Amino acid sequence: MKTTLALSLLWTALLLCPCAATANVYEVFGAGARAQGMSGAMTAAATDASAVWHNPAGLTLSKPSLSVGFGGAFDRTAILLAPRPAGYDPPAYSTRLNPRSDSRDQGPILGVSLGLNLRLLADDLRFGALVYLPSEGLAHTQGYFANERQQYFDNRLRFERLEERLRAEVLAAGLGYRAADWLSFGVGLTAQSSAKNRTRVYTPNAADPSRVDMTIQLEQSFEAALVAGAQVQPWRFLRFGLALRDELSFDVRGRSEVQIAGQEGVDPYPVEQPIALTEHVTVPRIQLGTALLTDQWTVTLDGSYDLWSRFRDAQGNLANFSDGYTVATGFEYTVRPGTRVRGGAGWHPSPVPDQTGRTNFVDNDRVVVSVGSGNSFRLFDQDFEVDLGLQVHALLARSVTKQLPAKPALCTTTTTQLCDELEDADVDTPLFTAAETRGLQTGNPGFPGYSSGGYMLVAGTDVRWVF
Amino acid sequence: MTRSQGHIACAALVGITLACEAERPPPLLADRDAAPVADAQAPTTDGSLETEGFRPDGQWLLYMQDRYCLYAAGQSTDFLVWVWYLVDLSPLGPGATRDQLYLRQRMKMCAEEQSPVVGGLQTFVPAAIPANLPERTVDAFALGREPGDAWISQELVELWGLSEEVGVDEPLPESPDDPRVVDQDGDGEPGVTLTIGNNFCDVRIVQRTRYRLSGELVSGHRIEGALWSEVDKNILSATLPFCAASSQLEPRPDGSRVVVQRVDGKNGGVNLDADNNGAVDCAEILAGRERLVSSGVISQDRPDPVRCR
Repeated sequence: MKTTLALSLLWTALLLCPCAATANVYEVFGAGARAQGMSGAMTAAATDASAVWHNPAGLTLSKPSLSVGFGGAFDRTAILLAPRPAGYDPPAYSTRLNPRSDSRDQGPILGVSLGLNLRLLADDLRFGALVYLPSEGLAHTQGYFANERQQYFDNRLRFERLEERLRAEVLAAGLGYRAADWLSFGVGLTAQSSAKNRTRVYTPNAADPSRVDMTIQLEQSFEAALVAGAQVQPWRFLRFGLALRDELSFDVRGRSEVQIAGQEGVDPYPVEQPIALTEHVTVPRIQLGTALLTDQWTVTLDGSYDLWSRFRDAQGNLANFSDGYTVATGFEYTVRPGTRVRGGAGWHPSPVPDQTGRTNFVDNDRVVVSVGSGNSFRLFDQDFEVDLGLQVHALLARSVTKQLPAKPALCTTTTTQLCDELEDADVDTPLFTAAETRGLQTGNPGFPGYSSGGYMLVAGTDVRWVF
Repeated sequence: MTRSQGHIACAALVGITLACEAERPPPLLADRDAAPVADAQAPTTDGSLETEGFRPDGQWLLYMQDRYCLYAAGQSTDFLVWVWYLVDLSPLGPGATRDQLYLRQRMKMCAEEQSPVVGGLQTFVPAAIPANLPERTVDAFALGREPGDAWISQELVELWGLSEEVGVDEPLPESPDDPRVVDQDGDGEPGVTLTIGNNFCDVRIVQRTRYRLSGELVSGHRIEGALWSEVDKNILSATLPFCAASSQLEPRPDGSRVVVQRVDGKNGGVNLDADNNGAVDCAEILAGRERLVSSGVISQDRPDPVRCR
């Protein structure tokens, strides 16, 4: 009966969920200090509110609790650009608003998390919620072109799978149901804000574009992605976990309508400018985990398969990544009653191919090593737990050299090779001589190559009231 | 965790983080402009400096060496004609692909020289003849801008002592009274007057020469190729009957060639702008001839006494 109810719950959630799709600190660091101390290998071991993220089925395996956490990461990653050779500059390249520059010291990543694991009707049915609020605030996003078009903006490269994605909020909730002593199910939703924008612009003087009249219509909404999971414990000392996560992203869609005085009736009028921004993409993931359980030890091993081939860049185009796996392992050792030490390690190979062409998706293989601790204590006659987690994420150094095409093609929406921004001219013009247009002219910030690497130090702590 | 295990763990962490530090890549690509400059210190075989690809503008020298076997007075002689043109080159537009180019060549003959013929007599073409020839506009086509890409020119037709209305296939006038004959060199005589030998005799002629030129780019400032020519000539009169004797020319294309060489000093071309006024004229072309030949930019064959036997 219980099993039937659980399956129905799971199936209903699968049918109802529209499942659009976010990457975030939880995906990279793990949800909560305990998970951070065990390198995120929690598919079969998450039991508190963090189970909403790792595997909602785990919600039933611990006492109800309310937690507050604080975490941060000290970013020591860097992208160093190879010197630009002379003779490849497009016209007016020296006048870009921002000169081409390395990327380093992007500032600390800080945030607060809140977790809740609540009994519903019976002890076997739990509700969990997990919220992460980054210091940047909600709905933070920063558009980016991973190609030559970025020269007109901050003119640098960024870590596609880390930078902005670590500054996004997380809103997640789920249900866990224990169908039998050996079987639990859970479903959850991870939400991400999205927006629709319509801007109407009127330029009364075409010669003075700094003066415009503008109205903005902004509609904020949420998209959600499903998380579903199960945990099976055939023996007291062994538990298996399975979790599925759908994709999610922060999307801004809309358009601008621009009218310019004096252009009335000149087709097209008004000028329509589409707006499309996609950020914080979390790709579908399948997680499989095991936990070996004794009185003193918990040892976990997780493997996940991520459909990175579905990753979209900030313009919503497929980025041509490869699907890939990650593995992580962790342990928790009870030193004495109420005191635990933890450790773990993980391997996150990069799904991003060498960026020898037009695009600059910077990414590195990543090794994670972690340590942590947990302490239980009583205060005001209530049970509390404090967890600490420390991680080092080492981005193994990687170098990219752009391939110079023999006959560079002009940059179009479909060009994948390093492309020419200026068509060869046959005659000199006031802007440039014909000679200056010959061959490749590119302001691509990744040209002619770059190196990336470094590390992140991550620290988190949770205080949990167990009731 | 024991103390030694802790030390190992710390060492591993330090090792990992050190291994991850990105190092700035070295220069991965040479400066596109700098490399030719460095090479430019050493003159190439044509005596100029290495440059970038073909740039279809500026002033160029078109040099033709036309070779014949000349049959006259019962003898066959290796006969060479060297013609020097000043060419203003400009692009007309792209071809079927963006590397292809239509070119406009505005050509002005500066001089023609001929090798000695029978008895060592040499025909001199007075400067008045090229000076009074009109500028010719001849279009060309380049299949690319890189060495090895083909260059094909339209036919160049020169008319000496003839009105411009004379067609390319039209029989030439035989009488000085023919209205199509003009006193082109302004010496008061119909046609043009050539001097043979050291004032041995003068001969007045009308002549039509058709040149067909093709070749390939060998550098950004030089084209080399082949030359086919056809000369029609009628002698109107001569101061000595000997000089009015007929002769026959047999083209020897294997000894004929054309060189188009940039001479305005730009894009690595040689610079014949002696007065530094920003433009090369025929006087500067002629003044630079010796330098071009001695430096190997232009090669001038000498008559081979056995070639036409």
